[in-house]
Amino acid sequence: MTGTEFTQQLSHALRGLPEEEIEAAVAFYEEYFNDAEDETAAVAALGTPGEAAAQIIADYATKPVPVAERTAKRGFRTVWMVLLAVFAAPIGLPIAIAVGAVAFSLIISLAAVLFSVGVSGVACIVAGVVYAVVGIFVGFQSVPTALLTIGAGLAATGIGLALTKSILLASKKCFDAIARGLGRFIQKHGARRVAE
Amino acid sequence: MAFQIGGALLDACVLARLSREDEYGYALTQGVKDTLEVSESTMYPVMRRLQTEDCLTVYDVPYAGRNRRYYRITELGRKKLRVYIDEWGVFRQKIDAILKGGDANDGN
Repeated sequence: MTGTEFTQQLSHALRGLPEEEIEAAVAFYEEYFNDAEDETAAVAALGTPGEAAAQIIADYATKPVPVAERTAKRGFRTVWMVLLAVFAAPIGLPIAIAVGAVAFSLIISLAAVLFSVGVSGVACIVAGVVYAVVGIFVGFQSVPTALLTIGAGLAATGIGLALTKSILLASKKCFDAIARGLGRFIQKHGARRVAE
Repeated sequence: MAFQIGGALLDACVLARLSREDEYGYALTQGVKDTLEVSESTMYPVMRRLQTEDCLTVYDVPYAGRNRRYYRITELGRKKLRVYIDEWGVFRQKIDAILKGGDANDGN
């Protein structure tokens, strides 16, 4: 990669920073390559433009902000910068975030499934009880119809109870398993990250 | 080198070099890199931050048909460097006491 290519990619990776910050960084590295005896070697020693950009953004984002400038907009900007830096960084962090997002969406969808089955169970119980009660009143007119209705009601109640009970057990098991899995994952990868 | 250099120590080294003479970006970067094991790309953000904190000023000098930007330490930068040097002395004594044993108040 030539110095020009490096500064072009650096400038692209820094978009979102104030214009003056981008210009200063590009000017610095243009001069830097001009002063280097071997431009290609100097470019290679710097690493990728993305890595250089990540360091600039990280430093920009973490420098103390004067109290007067601490506004919500400024805060949001900083969060945005850090996000940009994270995605420009060498692959470790983005992967960690992707894994986190996948885990989070799995939990949400699992919770949704469990919740809907649970609601069906409760609905069965309610409908079953109503059927059984209605059946008793129908009994004054037609005994066979009453027996059928009461029978259907009791059956529905039974199914509902079974569903609800098993869903409660299942959710407890699932979330325990997820919590254990996440814990192990964080222990394994988090600890190593700190050790680096 | 087994020890990681970053943050305040790197700031202090940049200020110390500039307290002796003004330097331009490439020379300063390579100079620090020759002593400390830092990657080249960590140096620009340090210089930029010290500049926005008014510890450094810059000026351009024409060189070979272009400009070279020199960095000069400010009075605020010198003040900060003196604090760093004091704190380094304390820090070094404490580490020496652990590594080499003996009294932390020994030595200079």
